[in-house]
Amino acid sequence: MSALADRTRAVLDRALAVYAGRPAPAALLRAHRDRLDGPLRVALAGTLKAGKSTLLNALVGEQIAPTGTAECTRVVTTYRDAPSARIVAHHRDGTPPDELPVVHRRGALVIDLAGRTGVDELCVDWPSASLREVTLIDTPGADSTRPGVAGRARAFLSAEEAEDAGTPGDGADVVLHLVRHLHDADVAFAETVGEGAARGIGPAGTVAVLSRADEIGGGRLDALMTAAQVARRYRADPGLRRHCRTVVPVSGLLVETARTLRAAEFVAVRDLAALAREDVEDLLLSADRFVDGAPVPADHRARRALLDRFGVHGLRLATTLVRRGAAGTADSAGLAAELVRRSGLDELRSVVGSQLVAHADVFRARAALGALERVLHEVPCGDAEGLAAAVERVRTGAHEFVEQDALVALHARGGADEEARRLLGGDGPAATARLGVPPDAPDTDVRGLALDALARWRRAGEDPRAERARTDVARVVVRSVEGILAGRT
Amino acid sequence: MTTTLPATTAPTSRREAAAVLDEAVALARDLGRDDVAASLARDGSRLLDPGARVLVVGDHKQGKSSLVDALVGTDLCPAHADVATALPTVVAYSEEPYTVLVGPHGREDVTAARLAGAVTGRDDRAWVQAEIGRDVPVLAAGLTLIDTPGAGGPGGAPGVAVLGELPAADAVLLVSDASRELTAGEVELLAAAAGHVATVVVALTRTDLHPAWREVRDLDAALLAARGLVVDVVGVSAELARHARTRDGTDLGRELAAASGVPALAELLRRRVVEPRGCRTERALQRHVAEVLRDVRAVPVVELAALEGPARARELDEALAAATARAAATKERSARWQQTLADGVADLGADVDWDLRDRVRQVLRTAEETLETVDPAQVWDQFEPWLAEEIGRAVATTYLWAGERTWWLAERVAAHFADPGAEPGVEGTEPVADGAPVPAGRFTAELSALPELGTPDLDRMAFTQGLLVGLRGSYGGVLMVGLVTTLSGMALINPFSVGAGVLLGGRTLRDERRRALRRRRLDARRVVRQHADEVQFVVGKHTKDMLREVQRTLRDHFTARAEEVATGAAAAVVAATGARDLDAERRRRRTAEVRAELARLDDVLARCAT
Repeated sequence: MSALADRTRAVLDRALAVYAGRPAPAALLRAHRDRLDGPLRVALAGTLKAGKSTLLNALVGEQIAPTGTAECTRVVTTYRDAPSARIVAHHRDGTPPDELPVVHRRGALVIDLAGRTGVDELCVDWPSASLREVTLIDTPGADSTRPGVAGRARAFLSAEEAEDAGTPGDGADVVLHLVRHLHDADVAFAETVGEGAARGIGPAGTVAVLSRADEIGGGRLDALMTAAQVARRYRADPGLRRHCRTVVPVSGLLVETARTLRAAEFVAVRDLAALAREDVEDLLLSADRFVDGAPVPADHRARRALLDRFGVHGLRLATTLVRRGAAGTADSAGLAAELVRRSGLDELRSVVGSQLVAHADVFRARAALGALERVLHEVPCGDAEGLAAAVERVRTGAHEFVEQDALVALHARGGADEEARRLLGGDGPAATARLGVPPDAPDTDVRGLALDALARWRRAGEDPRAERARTDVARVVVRSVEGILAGRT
Repeated sequence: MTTTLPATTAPTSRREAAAVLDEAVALARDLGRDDVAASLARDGSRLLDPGARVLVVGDHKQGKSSLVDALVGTDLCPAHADVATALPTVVAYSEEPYTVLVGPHGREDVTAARLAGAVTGRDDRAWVQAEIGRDVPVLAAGLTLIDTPGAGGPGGAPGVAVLGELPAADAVLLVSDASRELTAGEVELLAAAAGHVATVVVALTRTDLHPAWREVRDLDAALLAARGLVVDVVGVSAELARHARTRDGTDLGRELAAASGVPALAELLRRRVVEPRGCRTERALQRHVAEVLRDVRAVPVVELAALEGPARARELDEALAAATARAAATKERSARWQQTLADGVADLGADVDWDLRDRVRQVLRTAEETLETVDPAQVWDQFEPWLAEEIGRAVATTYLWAGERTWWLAERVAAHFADPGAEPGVEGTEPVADGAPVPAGRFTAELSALPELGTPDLDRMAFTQGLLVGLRGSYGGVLMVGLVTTLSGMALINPFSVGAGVLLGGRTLRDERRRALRRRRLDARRVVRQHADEVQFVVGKHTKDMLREVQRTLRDHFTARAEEVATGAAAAVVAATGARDLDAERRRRRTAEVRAELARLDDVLARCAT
C-alpha cells in the first residue's frame, strides 16, 4: 500500500467522521475509501455501437456483457470479481436493490431486467481472474437516441449526480474511450470525459481504443495492420493528446470470439477453409452472400450465427489462416491463439497494465479526493475549510499527480522525449522500469543510472536557453529521479 | 390550371419540353418578335437546367465519398480508410470532363492526385469547394451530387457546410454506417433537412460487412416514424458495387451490382428527386411558354379580324381595346411590382443585417461569459475553433434564411403578373385546349396542384421553415433555381472564407504567462469582438452584393416581360391598321398566312397544355 493511499485514506476518515450523520455523502465517501485497496475501476465509454460490451467480453474472455444489433447497454453495468455469480439491480427511486436470476443461454450470460423500469445501475459479480486487478464498467452509448440514456452515460463518467443517486460505487478511476475513428464527434465525447479532469479522470486516465479495427478500410485481410497505422499516426498527433494518453487499435469482436471459440465453430471454419480459395472469397464478398449464398457446409442459420461471431473480416482472416496452415492453427486452441495474437489485445493489455493499473493508486486517490471535494462543495459542513486544506495538502504533496500531468503535457507537446517519459513512470512506476533496466538489475546499477540521470536532468532544468515547457518537465523529472534515489518508489 | 401532373414523367417529356421551346422560339422569330424569341431562349435554358441537387451528408467516416463513387460508377471522390473528406465536392454532368478546385482566390483545373490532396485537407491552400464534371448516365439523367465533409455527432446541429448548401438542394441523402442505429445527431440532422427539402433518404452503407443491416434498417425506420419523419431507409454497399464494376458484364457482376443496392438507390433518387424536379421544371417552362405565346397570339388574332373586314369590326375594336388595356395595365402593374421588389429588397437587407447581428451577438455573449470564468491562455486552443465554428454557423444560418426569404420575394413579385384583375383575356381568343378561363389567384392554384403542397395562402402565411419546400414547384421558385444555385455558391464561400480569411488574432494570448489574468481576459474579449466585427463587415458586404444581384435578376426578368406585353399591344394596332389598307388579292393571301400562323401558335399552345 502506497503512502499516497494512506494519506488519502486519512483525509477520507476525517471527512467520514464529519459526515457521519449524512447517509448519502457518507456512503459515497465510504465507497471511495474501501475502493482505495480494491481493483482499479475501468469504465468503457464511447459512442453507440462502438463495441464497448464486446471489448468487455474480450477482456474477460467470457460472454458476460450482452451484445447485439440493437442498442444493448442502456444502464451503467459494473462487472467485478467475486466468489460467486450474482446480478444486482440498483433503482433510481431509492427502492432497495434487488437481485436478478443468473441465466446462461448458449454460453452467454443473459441479463433480463424482466420489465423493471427505473434501473439506475447493474452490478454483476462474476468469478474471473481477469477481473481481479480491474473492475470493468460498461456504459451506454454517448449518442443514443433514447431519452436519458446518453445523459446517463455522461453523468456517470463525469460523476455528476453521484450524490443524488446515492448508489455506492458511482464513477470510475480511469476510462477506456472506444472510438471507431478519430474525428470530431468522438472528440466531443472525449471532451465530456475531459470535464472529469478535476475529478480524477482527465487525459491522464483516458486511453483511446480504436475498437472496431477489423472494419477499417472495408474489412480486408490487412484491416488490422491499417488500423495499427492509423493509431500510430494519431499517437503522434498533439491534438488528440489533450484527450487521452495514447491510442490502441484492437478488434474486440475477434478477441471475444477467439477467447470463447467453440469446437463446432472451429469445424465450420475448417470446412470453409477446405473450399477453393476463390469460392470462399466470392462467398465472403458480403455478409448477405455468405448467409444466403451457394451451399457451404452449414445451414443458413448456422452461417448467420458464424458471421455474427466472427464478422466478415474475422471469417476472411480465420479461413485464410487455416488454409495456409499458419502456426498451430490445426486445432481450435491454435486458431484462437493466432486470432488473439493478431487482434491487438496484447498491446491493449500491456498499455492498460503499464499505464493504468501500474499507477492504480494514483488514479484511485485522485478519484477519491475529487469525490470528497465535490461533497465539500455541495454538502456544507462545519469543517469544510479544514478538510479542503487537507485535500490540498495531499494533492500538492503527491509527486505522483504531478508526474501524471507532466506525462500528459509531454505527449500534448508531441515531444518524443523517450527518457523523460520513462523516468516519469510512462512504462510503470518501478525504479527499474523508469530507468529502462530489467527488473532484476542490481541495486548498484540502478543507483548509478539514477545519479547519472539526475545530473543530466538538473542541468536541463536549469538551462536558461531552453523553453519554459521543457524546463518545467525537467524539474518534474528531477524530482522523480530523486524519488528513485530515496527508494520511495 | 386544370392540367394535372402525370405520376411519372418519361425522359421523353424533357425532350418534348425542349422541342416545344424550340418551336416557340422559331415561331416568335417568324412573327417578327425577336425580343420574345430571345427572352424565351434565355428563360428556357435557365429553366431546363436538369440538375437535381442531392446533398450527401452524414457523420465522419460513414462512407459518403465511396457511395458517391458507387452511384456515379467511377472513382471520383477521394475515399480513404482514415483521412476524411474536408471539402464539399460537387459532382455534376458535363460532356467535357473537368476537375476544378474553387477557392477565395479563384478556380483552378487540377489533377486527380491534387484533388485528393485538397479534398482530404492535405493541401496548404485554403480551398472552398471541389467541382467534378463527368459524362456518365446517372449524372446525364439530371442528378448532381454534393459530397459534404462529415457533420453531426452528439452536438446534433448540421454542420456549416451542410447549412450553406441546403437552400439550393432538392434532396438530402444521409449516409450512416449499417453497423448501428441512427444516432441522436443524425436524427437531428434529418429533422433539420426535412424542413428545407422535399425528399430525405437514409443510405445504410457497408451492408457487405454487417449481416444485421436489415434489423438496423427496420429499427431506423421505426425510430424515424416515431419522430414523424417521412424518410426512406435503404441499404447499400459501395464495396460490392466496386466489385461489380471490376466484374462488369459477367453474371457475378450483375448479381453483385443488384446485391449492392446502389442501382436501387439510384432508381429511388431518379423517381423521387430527379423526375419530380424535372416534371416541375418542365411544367413551369411550358406554362411560361404558353403565357408568352398568348400575348404573341393577340397580334395575328387582331390582324385576322381586320382582314376579314367590316363583318368583324366590332370584334376588332374590342380586341384592340383589350390589347391596349393590357399594355396599360402592365405599365401600371410595373410600378407596383417594382415597388414590391424595391421594398422587399430593402426589408430583406435590413432583416438579414439584423438577423446576423443578433446571431453573432448571441455567440459573443456566450463567448464573453466563458472567458470570464476561465484563463484565456489555457483554453485558447479549444476556444478558437469553437468560436470559428459558432460564428460560421451563425453566418451560414443567416445565409440559409436570406436564401429562403429571397425565394419568397421572387414569388411575391411574380404574383403581380398573375393578378387576375390585370389579365384582360381577349374574349374568344383563349387558346388553351380546355378553354377554361384563367382562375383567380393562379399562383395559389398552381401551388395547390402540386402533390406535396397544401394550399398555402402566400399573403397570410408567416415565413416559416418548410415554405421553401412548397415554393420549389412554383413559377418564381423555378425561376429562382438558377439564381439561388449561383448565390449559394457565393453563400458557400462565405462561411468558409470567413473562417479562412478572417483569422482570429489571439495567437499572442497563448504564451503570455506573466501578464495578469485580468489583462488576458480583457485582451481576449477585445480579440473576439474585433473578430465578430470583421466577420459582420465581410458578411454584410457579401449579403449586399447578393441582394443587388437578386434585385437585378428579378428586375431584368420582369421588365423584359412587361416590355413584351407592351410591344405586343403596339404590334396589334399596327397589324390592324395595316390590314385595312390592303387590296383584295393581298388581303386574301395575307388572311391565309395569318390563319397558318394562328394554327401553328395554337398547335404549340396545345402542346404546352398537355
